[in-house]
Amino acid sequence: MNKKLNYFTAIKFLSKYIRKHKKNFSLIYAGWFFNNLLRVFVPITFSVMIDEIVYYRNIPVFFRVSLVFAVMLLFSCILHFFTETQHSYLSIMYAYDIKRDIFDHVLYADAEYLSDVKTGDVINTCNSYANECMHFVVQNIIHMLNKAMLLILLVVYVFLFGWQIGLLMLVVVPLSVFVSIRFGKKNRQYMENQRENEAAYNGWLYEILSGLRDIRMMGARETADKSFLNHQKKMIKVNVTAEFLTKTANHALTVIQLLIMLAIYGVVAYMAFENNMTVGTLTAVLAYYSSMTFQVKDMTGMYLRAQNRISFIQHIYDLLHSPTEKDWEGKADLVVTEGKIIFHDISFGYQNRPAIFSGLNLTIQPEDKIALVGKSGEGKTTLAYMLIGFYKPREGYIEIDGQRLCDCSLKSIRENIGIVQQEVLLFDGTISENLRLGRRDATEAEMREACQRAGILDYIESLPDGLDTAIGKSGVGLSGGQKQRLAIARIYLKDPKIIIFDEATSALDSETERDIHNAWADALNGRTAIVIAHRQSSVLLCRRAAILDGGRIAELGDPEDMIRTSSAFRTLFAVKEAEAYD
Amino acid sequence: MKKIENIYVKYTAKKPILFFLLVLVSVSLILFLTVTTKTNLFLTCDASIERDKIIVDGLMESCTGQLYVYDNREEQIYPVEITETVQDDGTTIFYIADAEALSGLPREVKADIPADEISLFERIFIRGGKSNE
Repeated sequence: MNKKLNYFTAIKFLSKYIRKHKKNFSLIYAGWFFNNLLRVFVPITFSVMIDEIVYYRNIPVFFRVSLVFAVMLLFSCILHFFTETQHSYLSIMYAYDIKRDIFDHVLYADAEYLSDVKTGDVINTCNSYANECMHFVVQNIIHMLNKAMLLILLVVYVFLFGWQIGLLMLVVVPLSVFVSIRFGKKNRQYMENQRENEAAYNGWLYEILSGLRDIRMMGARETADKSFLNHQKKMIKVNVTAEFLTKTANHALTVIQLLIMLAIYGVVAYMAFENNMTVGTLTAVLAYYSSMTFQVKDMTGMYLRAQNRISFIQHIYDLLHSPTEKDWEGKADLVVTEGKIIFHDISFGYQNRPAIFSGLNLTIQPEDKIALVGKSGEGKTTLAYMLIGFYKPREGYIEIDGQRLCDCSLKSIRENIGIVQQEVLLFDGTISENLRLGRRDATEAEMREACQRAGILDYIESLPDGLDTAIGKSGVGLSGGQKQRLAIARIYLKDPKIIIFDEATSALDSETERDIHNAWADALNGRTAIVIAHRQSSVLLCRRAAILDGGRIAELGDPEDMIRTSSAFRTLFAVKEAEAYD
Repeated sequence: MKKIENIYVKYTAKKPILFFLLVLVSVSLILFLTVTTKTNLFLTCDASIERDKIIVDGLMESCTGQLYVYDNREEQIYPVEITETVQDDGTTIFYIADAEALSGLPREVKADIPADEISLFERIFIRGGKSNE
């Protein structure tokens, strides 16, 4: 369980990103330091101008001081411009850094963690939560320090005007801090709820938008609408309360500041009556008070917003501290010469869920073709994915050619095992770029040969740009069968000794599936294959079939024989008993 | 156009040489202007008016130029030209040019007497804008 962040630990967590851009930060603070000095001295300069002209009618001095005033203002404007450009540059770079870290972590995230997490949540984390982190750093580290620096300078100079005024102004600070802390704690809880509701809503929205056609076909618009309203109601309730709390805090601060301003007016009036206060000094005092209350209000507002953001930062903190594949301990290179696989006494269950496997044993001989079959949820895919290191068994071990998987590096494991899935991953890019996912250094000749063997070269050559044809959203669309052939071509390029087919042809029509099975025949030559399928036609390609049931291999044998001898097999594939003997 | 934009971004954000130059030039200019600009430092005293004289308790150095007389500073200040300064029996007497200008004032007044000249730098950054001792 990761630690719960508070305001200061959140700053500590995010400060590592500041260290990457020390130069820019230094420039910002240098700029702000001079700007703060000007903000303190400009009102005093203005007060000198007023006093010289109002009391002493000293025109030459007035003009000289005006020149200094103008130069200060000009300097302030240009300095502000440069500081803001650095600030914008840094904000963008910072957001990039944290998104880079998050994405990198997601790429390497433990498969178990990913199986529990919703896609909408991950998208939120990569985008909007990362932006919230950036705002937190920008406001609560950069701006807060700057405002604290300005506040200190203002307080020091206010005491030069009179200790009574200085003390009165100082009262604003602890009162504002007290109000912020009280409201901040309450607000944080609401923001945590808000974040959870938004994550749930985004995940739901993603699923709904992906299945809009299905919703219409099933006449489920009203159900979807009701669900939408439920999500929104929850969010509205929490959002309204959180906003009200923030506004209440802000207005409480405003009331405190107004009361103190009244007190300052009283003191200033008395001092003016005693001839201890000039018009210029009065102008400077009011400017300082206005600046000071603005800074204090801004700082307390930042603190309140920081409380809101901490829940997003906590989420990112938890993600960045979640287990990744980088924690995989095996370092040796897996060398596969035969392709013999042994699952020995495997036990596994997802976090906080009942065990899927309990003492499962299975040996797959070299160049064997075995089908894993069973009802949904029996763990067919999980078992196969254990081979490529996505999941680690709680007990037992997996061996390939006498080497324990846990001793081998993930890189070498995945170099030796190919996988063909139902949804073939295709990036927006050219055919050759997509083929090179199989092997990065594949030459054009090698790609052509792989496509030839997969039965897709003719189609590719019929395209005007051949292998350089763009595919994906912005290019040529490929049919399901063509995508599967591309996936087979990748296998040829990768040339692994072990292949896993994970419901690869489930979405294809029977005729296309037959063609793909023919293409498999060559690809499987000399390799060990594990086929996960719900279709009998795919299972019958294999020499053996293993039925998973209750966390174990319930039955194992030739699928042709199992049609006749195994009622479980027949049930799975809805084969009538009479047909079994035909 | 894109090249100009890239140069602009480069020299404002990535390699802020202009930033350093600006700070250097501006700070130097402000320091120069504030150090070379002189303003009066006034001594505020209780004074009494007698015809063409303004009598102040205490011995002060002879000064020329103007001094400023008032009853309530926020109402009106009367600048008067000093013609002569005389020290007499623990008091300093300033002879003024235009005694008629002070006819609206009571006998006991306040006077801001230029005691010294200070730089604008000192007045702003050290004295917080105050011109009176």
